[in-house]
Amino acid sequence: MLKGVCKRWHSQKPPNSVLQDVDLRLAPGSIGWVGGSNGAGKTTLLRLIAGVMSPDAGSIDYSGLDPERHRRDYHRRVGYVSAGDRGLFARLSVRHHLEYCARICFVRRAERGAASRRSIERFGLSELLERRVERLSLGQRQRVRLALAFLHDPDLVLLDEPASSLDDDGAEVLRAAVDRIVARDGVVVWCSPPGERSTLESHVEMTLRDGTLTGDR
Amino acid sequence: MSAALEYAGALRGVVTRDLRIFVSYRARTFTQLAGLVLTMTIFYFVSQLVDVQQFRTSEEYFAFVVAGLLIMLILQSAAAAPAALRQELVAGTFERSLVSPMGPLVGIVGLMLFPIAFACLIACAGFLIAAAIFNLQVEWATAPLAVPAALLSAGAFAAIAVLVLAAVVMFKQSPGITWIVTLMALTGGVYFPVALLPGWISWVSEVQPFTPAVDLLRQLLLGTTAGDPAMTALLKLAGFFVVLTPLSFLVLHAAIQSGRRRGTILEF
Repeated sequence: MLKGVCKRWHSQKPPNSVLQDVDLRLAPGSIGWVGGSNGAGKTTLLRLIAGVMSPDAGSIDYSGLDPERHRRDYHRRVGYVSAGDRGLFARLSVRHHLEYCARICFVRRAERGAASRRSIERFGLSELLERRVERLSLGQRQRVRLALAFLHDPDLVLLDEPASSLDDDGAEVLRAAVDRIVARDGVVVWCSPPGERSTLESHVEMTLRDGTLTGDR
Repeated sequence: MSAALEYAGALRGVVTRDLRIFVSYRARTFTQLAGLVLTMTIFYFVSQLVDVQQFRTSEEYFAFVVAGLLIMLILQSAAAAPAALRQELVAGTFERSLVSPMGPLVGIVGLMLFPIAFACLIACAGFLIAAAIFNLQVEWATAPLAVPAALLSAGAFAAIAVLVLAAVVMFKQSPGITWIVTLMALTGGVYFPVALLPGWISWVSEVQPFTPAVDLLRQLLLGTTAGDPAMTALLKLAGFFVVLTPLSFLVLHAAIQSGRRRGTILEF
C-alpha cells in the first residue's frame, strides 16, 4: 500500500517533514489502526492514501492501482471520511446528498436506488432523509458522512477519527459497516488519538511518531 | 458504461445539486429577474436623454444597452465560479470531488454549468420582457440563432473563468475577477460603442471575447449593423474559444497537481 513514503510541508520555514520513509502493507480483510498524538501526521497519511495529496517520495498503490495514474479506477474503490464535520452541503437534504454522491462516484444508474436504500438502512437515516443537513445534530451529520463514504461499496476505506460525535448506536453502525468491508476482503485504515482506540477492533495497530510509523505491522 | 457517460452523469449530479441549493432560496429567481427589469427600466429612461450621432433614436440606444446587459449577465455568471469554489473549499465540500472518481477538474468545471445555464435562461426571459414592456424591436428571424451564439460566448467566458479558478486553487483567492469583468464590460461595448474609446485603451476591446460576443448577439437579436460583421464576430469568438479552452484546462490541471504536491489543495 505505502512504500518509502515521505511528505514535507514545503510552505513552512524550515520545511517540516511529516512522514519519513513510511511503509504500510495490510492484508485483504484487515483493519489497521494508526494512532499518534495531535499533529503526528495521521490525517496526512490518510490524505495521501486517499489521493488528496501526492507524496514527495515513495509510492502508494492499492491492488496495483496508483492514485494518480489510475485516478478514476482507484477512487471507485476508495471510501474516505475526513476528520471533523465538514464536507456536507448545508442546504441539501440527506436524500439529495446520497443521490449526488452516487453520481460523482460513478454508481451505475441501475444500482443507484439500491445503493441509496442500502445506505439509508445501514446507517439509520430513514427518519432524516428529507432534512437539510444544516438541521442535523453533529452525530447525525457524522452518520451521513459515513453513509456517503460507504455508498459505492468501496473496498479500501479510510476513516479519520470516524467515531467523533457518534452515540453508542452510531458506533455500532460504524462497526457493522467496517465488518462488512472486512468480510468482503476489503481493507480499512482508521486513525484516532490513542484514547479512542477501542472504537473499532483492529488487526494491526501502529503509531506515528516523529514521522515514522512503528508498531505491529 | 463508457467513461464519457459516467462523466456526463457526474456533471448532471453537480448541476442538479446546484439547482437544488439555488431553489432552496425561494425568492432568488424572482429577485434576479426583478433586479434585471429595474436596471432595464433605468436605462429605458436614460435612453430618452440620449441624442448622439451613434444612435438615430433613443430606442436604438435602449436596444443597444439591453443586449449588452443581458450578455453581461452570462459573463458575470461565469465569473461567479471562483467564489463558488472558495465556498466549497471553506465548507470542505470540495474534498468530495477530490476523492471521487469524477475528480477535481470535472468538479471545478461543473461548478460553472448551472450558473451559466441559469443566466442564459434569465437573459432569454429578460429579452422577452424588454420586448413586451419596453417595446424592444426584436429581429425574430435571426433571434433563435442567438442561443448557440450565446452558448459559444459563455464557453469563451468560461475559459477565462477557468483560468481564475486555477488561481483560486493555487493562491486561495480570485485575483481581480471583478476588475476583469469590469474591464471587459468597459472595453466590450456594454453601455456605449467601442468606437468611443480613446486610442490608448481601444486595443483591449480587440483582445477579449466580450466584444465579438456583444457584436454577434446584437446583430442576431436586434439586426444592428454596428461593430464587426456577424461572420467576422463569429470567427473571432470561435477563435477565443478554441485557443482559451484547452489552455485554461491545462493551467487548471497544473494548479491541481501543484496543490496536491504541496499539500495545499484543501486549504482556504
